[in-house]
Amino acid sequence: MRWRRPVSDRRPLAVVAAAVLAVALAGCGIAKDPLGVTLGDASSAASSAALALEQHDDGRLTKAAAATMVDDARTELATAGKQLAELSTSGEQTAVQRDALDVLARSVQHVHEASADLGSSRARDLIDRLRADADDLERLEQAAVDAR
Amino acid sequence: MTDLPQHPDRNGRLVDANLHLLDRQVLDRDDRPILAAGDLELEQSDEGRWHIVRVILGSGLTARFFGAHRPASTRDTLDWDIITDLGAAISTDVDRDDVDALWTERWWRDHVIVKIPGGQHDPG
Amino acid sequence: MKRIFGVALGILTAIGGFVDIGDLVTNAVVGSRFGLSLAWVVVVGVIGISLFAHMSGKVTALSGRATFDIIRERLGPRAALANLTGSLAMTLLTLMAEIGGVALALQLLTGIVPVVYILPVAVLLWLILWRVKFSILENVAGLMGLLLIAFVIALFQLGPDWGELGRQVAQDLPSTGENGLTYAFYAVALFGAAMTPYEVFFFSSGAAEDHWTSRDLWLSRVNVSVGFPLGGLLSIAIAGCAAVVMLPAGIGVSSLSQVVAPVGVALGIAGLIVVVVGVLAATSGAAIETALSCGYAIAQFAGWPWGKRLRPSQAPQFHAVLLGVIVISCLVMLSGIDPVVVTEFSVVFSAVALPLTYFPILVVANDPQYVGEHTNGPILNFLAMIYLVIVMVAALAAVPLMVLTKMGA
Repeated sequence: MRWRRPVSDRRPLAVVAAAVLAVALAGCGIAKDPLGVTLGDASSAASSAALALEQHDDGRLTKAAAATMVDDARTELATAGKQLAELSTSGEQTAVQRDALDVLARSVQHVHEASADLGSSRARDLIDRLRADADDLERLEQAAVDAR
Repeated sequence: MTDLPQHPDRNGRLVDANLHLLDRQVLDRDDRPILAAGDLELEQSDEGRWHIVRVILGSGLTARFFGAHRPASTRDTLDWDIITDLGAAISTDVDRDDVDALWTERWWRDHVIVKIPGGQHDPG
Repeated sequence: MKRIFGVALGILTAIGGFVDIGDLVTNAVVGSRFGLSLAWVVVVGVIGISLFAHMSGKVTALSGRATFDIIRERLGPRAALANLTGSLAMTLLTLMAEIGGVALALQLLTGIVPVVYILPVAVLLWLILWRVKFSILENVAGLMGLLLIAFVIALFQLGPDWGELGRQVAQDLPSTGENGLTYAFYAVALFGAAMTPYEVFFFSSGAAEDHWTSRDLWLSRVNVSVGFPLGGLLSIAIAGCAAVVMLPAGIGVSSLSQVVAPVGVALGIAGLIVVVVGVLAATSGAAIETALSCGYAIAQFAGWPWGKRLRPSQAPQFHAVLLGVIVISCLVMLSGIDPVVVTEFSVVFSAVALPLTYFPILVVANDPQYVGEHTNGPILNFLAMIYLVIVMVAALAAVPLMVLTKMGA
């Protein structure tokens, strides 16, 4: 059996099928709010850094692995910060964005301290602060979604 | 599967060129790959019958992209009468070291691969 | 005795070789955001790859012709070239992701940034492909990949609420604030990660490298029916660990460090090192496989001699291709691009490229000229036809979903 060259009128059908599928799936849920997504990423990064510090302090992560994890969190926070700064918001979301920029700046500083001084005696303190930052960011994420 | 009609005056096998011949891998007498069969050269005998004389190797796609066919003198071909079997691949009775069409492979071998240490050794 | 050893080896390498960087990252991301509610996709994917890997191995063992040889013969050179371009692009992308994955694993062991490791890893990869025998490659990478069982042990050690996990498996959508679109996107991504198309090239060509004949088909059946499902269990364990440690902590996995962290939490430093070495082995093995698959695809299409069983001087263009794809991958990864991002693209485009390889294999597995009397039975054909539909749906939905969800954000 050898196929002929694909009949040219099959291609539009494939495109239509894909479009229909996309639209149908779009009906399953709304596209996500960009401010909410950014704050979710930031909160996740702060929690991740806290987890890394905690596990390293408990002797369950090697220094290399913990340093990598904290470094990854730092990169993610920096990306979230950049996105947050570039977002154009309106209405109540603007207030949320303003607060978020403050909290984000704080958590960036905390992660910076954590990565510079892994295994220091201040670890426990930093863990608590990062967890608080994560909670704040998560609260702001919820506020952003509500303010939409 | 396609049912091919019986040939009127032979007891030989009837083969569909498109389905069973073209684009099949060509193998030498030791089952080593040569290239793929891309096209066929036919000649008309005195009685007006057409016969396959040569198999043209390679897909001809490079020339095709530039809007042309490869000139007859540059085509890589194999004579039809060296073919011994038509199965999943086309078996021939020639040694691949004697086939001119494989000059690009020899170029790569002689100018690149053997220059790198270990190129001529069995993998260990 | 030797027979049993051979069978055991085959199964073990199938398990250890099942997981690559795509599975590692995608399963962990999914576990941290959706719990185990997408576990069913892994099951569907494992059955699919078992079916098609077996068919591709069968065709090569019986006909002596490997995948891209067959695709060229079936589609004609022009359509086959289009197919080759798509398949090659996707396999090359996966190779880049695997090389990146090796570098990330090395970062986890040493703390040094991954981009430093890209060039040494690429050079070592080429050297291995230049000199090392196929069977040694298969066996060493596959066996060391078994260290990933640490994920399974870690999951049990974490003492999760099994009832809760079971509820997640049965649930359609967890209450974590994700929506239907992202769920669908990750279902497609996970499917692409489980049913990687290069596996079909590799299984088929590997059958020729190992000189399989019809007498070895039972071995292929054992490998896929035991090895691949157990490999799938590893994938689910990776998702499970993320679901138990990361999901409640509100951490969405986005880096390899977060993929392995739960093992550290459960088993301490010893467990962590074991699992990172396992990741190193799995990604190295996959890098070898994807590089070879690029070589197989091009050489088989062109009709050149190919294979690790030949000396490089007997398959010069094949080895030139291997060198070329490694150089290209190395150059791209040296740009410092995040390997996890490359991985995420590679699994989505794996889903897109699936029909290119699966459709021809299914057709040829039914052609007596290739497989003689061993054409697919009716059950196999029925299952394979269902999978063809699933594969087409996933391939069509992949890019729209990627765009609509902004890569699953």
